[in-house]
Order: sequence, then C-alpha cells, then structure tokens
Amino acid sequence: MFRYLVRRFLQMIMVFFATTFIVYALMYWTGGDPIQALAGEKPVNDVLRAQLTKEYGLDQPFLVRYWNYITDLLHGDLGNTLVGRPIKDVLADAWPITIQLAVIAIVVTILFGVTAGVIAGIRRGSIFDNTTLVLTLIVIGIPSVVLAPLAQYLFTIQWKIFPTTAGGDASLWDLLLPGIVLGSLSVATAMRLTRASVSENLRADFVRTARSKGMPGRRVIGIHVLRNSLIPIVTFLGVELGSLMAGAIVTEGVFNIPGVGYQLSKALTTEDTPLIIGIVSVLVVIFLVANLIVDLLYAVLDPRIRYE
Amino acid sequence: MSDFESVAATELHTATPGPAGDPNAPGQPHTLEVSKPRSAGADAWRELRRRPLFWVALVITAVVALMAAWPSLFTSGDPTACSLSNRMGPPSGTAIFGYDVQGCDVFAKSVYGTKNSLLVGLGAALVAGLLGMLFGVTGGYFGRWWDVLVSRVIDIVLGLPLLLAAIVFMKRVSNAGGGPNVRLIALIAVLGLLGWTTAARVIRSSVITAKQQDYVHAARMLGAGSGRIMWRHILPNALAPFIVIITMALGSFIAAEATLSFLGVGLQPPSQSWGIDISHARLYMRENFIPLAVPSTFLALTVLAFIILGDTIREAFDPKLR
Repeated sequence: MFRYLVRRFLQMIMVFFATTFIVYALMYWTGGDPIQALAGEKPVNDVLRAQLTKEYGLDQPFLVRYWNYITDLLHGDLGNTLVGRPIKDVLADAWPITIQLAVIAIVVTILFGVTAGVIAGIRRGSIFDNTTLVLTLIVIGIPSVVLAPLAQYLFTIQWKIFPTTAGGDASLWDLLLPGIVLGSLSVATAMRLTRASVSENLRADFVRTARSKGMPGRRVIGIHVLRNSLIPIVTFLGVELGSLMAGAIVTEGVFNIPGVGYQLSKALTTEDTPLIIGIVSVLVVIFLVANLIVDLLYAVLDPRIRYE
Repeated sequence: MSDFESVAATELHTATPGPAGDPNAPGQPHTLEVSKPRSAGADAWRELRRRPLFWVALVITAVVALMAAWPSLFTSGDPTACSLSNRMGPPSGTAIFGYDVQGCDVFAKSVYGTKNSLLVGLGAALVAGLLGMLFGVTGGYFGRWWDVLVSRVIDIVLGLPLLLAAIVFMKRVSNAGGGPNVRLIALIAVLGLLGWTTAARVIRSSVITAKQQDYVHAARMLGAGSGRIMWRHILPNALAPFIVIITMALGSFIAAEATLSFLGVGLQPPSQSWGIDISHARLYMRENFIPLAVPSTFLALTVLAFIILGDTIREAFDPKLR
C-alpha cells in the first residue's frame, strides 16, 4: 500500500508538471506580444517596453519563465488580470458559488442517479428499467449548450418556477435549477454505472450465500450489494469533476452565476489571457488532486484491491 | 420530421424479414442456425437488426451525412443572405422556421451548419482513432519501456480536461489570427489529440489479453512477423469495443465543437456552426424561441444519434447483456 501511495504520488507530480507545461507553452511560447496586450491599444515606447520586459521577466529563457510560473502557482500567486485585479481575489470570490453549484449537482446525481440505478439494477428488464435506460441515453446525448438554455427557457420564462438568472448574491433556490442542469449529465452516467454494477453484484456468490442464510432482501441489497456497487460510482464521481467544471463554464455563463466557470467564459470574451491561464491551471490542479483522492479512496473502499 | 419517420419506417420494413444473406430460406432461420456456425460479428448484427433504436439512429446519421454533403438538397435558402428587414420574421417561402435577430434564414443556417459539425466530429474521431489504435496496439503488444512511455503519455493527456485544454489551445489559435479553415483544422487537431486516450486504453488491454491466446502463439510459431500478428490476429479481436468508443467519441466531439463555438473560441461567425447560432439566439429567446430551438434540435439529434449508435452496437456485442 505504501509503495503504491508513493508511486501514485510521483505519478501525479509528473502529470502536474507535464500538464502545466503544456498549458503554459501553448499560451505563452509564441502567444503574441504580452506587453502590447497589457498596454491595450496605446503604443508602447522603447524605454517602457524594456522596463516592463525586465519587470515581468520576459527577457528570461522560456524554461526559466515556466519555472517562475510554477513556483508562483504553487505559492498561490496567480498574477493579475489584464485590468490589474489579483487573479487570486477573483477566484476567492468565485469559488464559494461554484462549490455550492457543484454540491447541488453531486447531490442530484447521487439522489436520482444512484437511486434509479439501484432500482433498475434490481428489476432488470422491467418497464422502469427500460424507460430509464432510454431516458438516460437521451440526457447523455444532449450537450449542455442545448440543455442549459432549454431549461432556462422552459422553467424560468415559459413556466416561471425558478428565477431566470442568479446574479451576485445567489441563494440556494437561485442555484437549484443550474445545479440540476449541471448534475443531469452525471445523473445519466451514474445511473447506468450503478445499474450495471448492481445487477452484476446480484449474481455474485456472496449475495447467494447471504440469501441462503435467510437474510432479509432489504439487508442483502442495502449492505452486501450496494456497498460493493458503490466503488465504481466513487471513481466516476471523481473523474466526473473534470466534466463538471467544463459544464460549469456553460451553465454558469447561461444562468449568469458569478462562479469560476462564469469568470472563465467572461475572460474568453474579454480576451483576458492571464485570467484564462490562471483559472485553467487551478482547475487542472484540482482535477489531478481529485483523481488522486479517488484512487486512494478506491483502495480504502475495496480491500480486495492489493497494490503489490 | 415526417420525412425522417417515413424513411425510418421503410428502412425498418425492408430490414426485418429473414437473414439478408439467405434468400432461399426466409421462413426457417432456425434450421440454418444449427447447421452454420456464426461469427461474433454476424451474431451481433442479428441482434442489432432487431433493435428499432439502432435503425432510428442510423437513419438520423445518414440524413445528417447527406445534409453535410449536399445542404442544398434540404433547403433552397441561403444562410448568408440576411436582411434586417426580416428581423425575427415569421416563416415565409423557403425559410420554414422564420428568421433570426439578424434576419437570417434559421433553417438554412442550421442545415449549412451540419457540414462543419460533422467535419470536426469525423476528423477528430479519425485522428483519435488512429492515435488510439497505434499507441494501444503497440503499447500492449511490445510492452516494456514503450508500454511504460505510452501509459505515462496517456496519464498526462487524461490529466487535461478536454474542454479546458481545448479552450486554451483554441484561444492561442485565435490570438494568432487564423482563418476559418485554420480554426477548423485546429479544432480537429486539438479534439483528436486530447480524445484518443480512452480508445488506446481499451485497445491496449484487449491486446494484452489477446497476446496470451493460443492462436497468437500458433501464428508466431508459424513464422508470422509482429506486424502481421498485430494486424491480422490481435486487432480484429479488439475491434468491437474500439468501434463503440469511437462512435460515441464522435458524438462528444460534435458536442465539444458546439460548446467551443458557443463560448466563442471554436468556429467564428463567417463559418456556420450550431454552437454560434445557439449562443446568439440564446440572448433573444425571450422574444423568439424558434431560432434557439432549431440549431439545438439539430445538435441534440446528431449527438444523440451517434451515442445511441455506439450504445446499441455495444449491447449487441456484449453477450452478458442479452
């Protein structure tokens, strides 16, 4: 186990350096003239240019600049946006809202996806099973660029159930519809995963043993089947965090929720390159850490898995 | 839509009677089953043929492909002929769904947007498929340091969320001031380069399993070279899950293109794209919902068709699900 931990950790460090390097290289290696971008449309005279070049370390070789970026990133210093606001502050304002949204999405996923999956897995081939299978297929097939505006139109304009946009100090009620929209993609996949693993576990020997010992069905399902079926779901939820963040860009943009995804979509329209890089770097790091945690959790949840 | 359904219905009727290859025994397929051993592929095809969902998805993909190749078959309108006097106009003449906020023909725009979506989807799936096959087969077959290298590269690519990395890359392309074709190729490249890992992993693991099989040892003993063993003996057995993954990836690449265009970093206005149409129409949906609904329907149906296609093929190949 300890050796696995060390290896997994080293692997994450390698992936961390590689991914940040790719992101950084893509954006800055030949990415136009950053000083002109800083100055906007005003011409920059030579003295100022030389001074700024020195100040931002642009005269350094590329690898040195990448190293500076990495050390700043690890110290939590993400630099400033084009209008001079520290990116750290932008993110500090945006995180709480995005986290609320993500929690709603995950709760929705677990509540509907896992429950429906368990029922469908137990009653395979039933009407409930077949309808949910088709329904989830449809939900998986509808991209969030379609789902988010559609939900907004139906539930806030056509039937005025939810507020159309959430705005600055959004309450939980304001975030409910966007959260459901964000979660719906994972609901479908979670449901299918749960269904598959429940119906597989129902055929396992330990379930037959439990039944033949005379254990009540509720207990067999609740303890023996469910616990073993949840392992792939946990993995999935961790990996899903990546697509959740990507989905948040569209959902937060559509519902005007000032979270991280909204800041990113705004940065894309205002061409704020430092902000884009800052947010993407942080999201990539979060994604890596989430994957690491999931892998470790996997080992805790399933003692059958032995890592050399 | 009525066209779709009637086509689907005729397809279904022509497809259902008897095994296609045996015209002499349409009434008794059961006697044939015993006498003739069927391959896994033929078995899956028999299973697949009976699924109405498969035919619906197949018909939609066929219509979409036709629309991409000859958009003028479906509409005589011109997506670029916009006149502000038609702003949010009701359906008239060729514009069967009316006009959008710029006075453009909503239906024509969506029909002409099909080409770019499908080009990006197919192109990226091709890139991802080739890369996945190349690295998956060689990694699984040769093992050792090459497999370690391939696995690490897969780890790194998986560490980059598809949409986020695509945003950064496409932003870089637009900063460099690329034209419509450059953007199209860049989209294909970035989605393909980021999307091959799942296919590679699946192929790699089936290659590792296949490598131990007796028929592979037998082929090697008969003097077959590495290339021949990989191509003729290992690859065909790993093909079914590969096709499924690539079909589904095709759908998700089309969705990713629309999302990137929606966010303003994919294709841009002179090009026709469902994502652009959706992002524009969204702002005026309170006034008129139709310009949002039409490209949304096109996009959702197309993505759905590929996902369903992949899903039904997977079920057909998976004997456990029967």
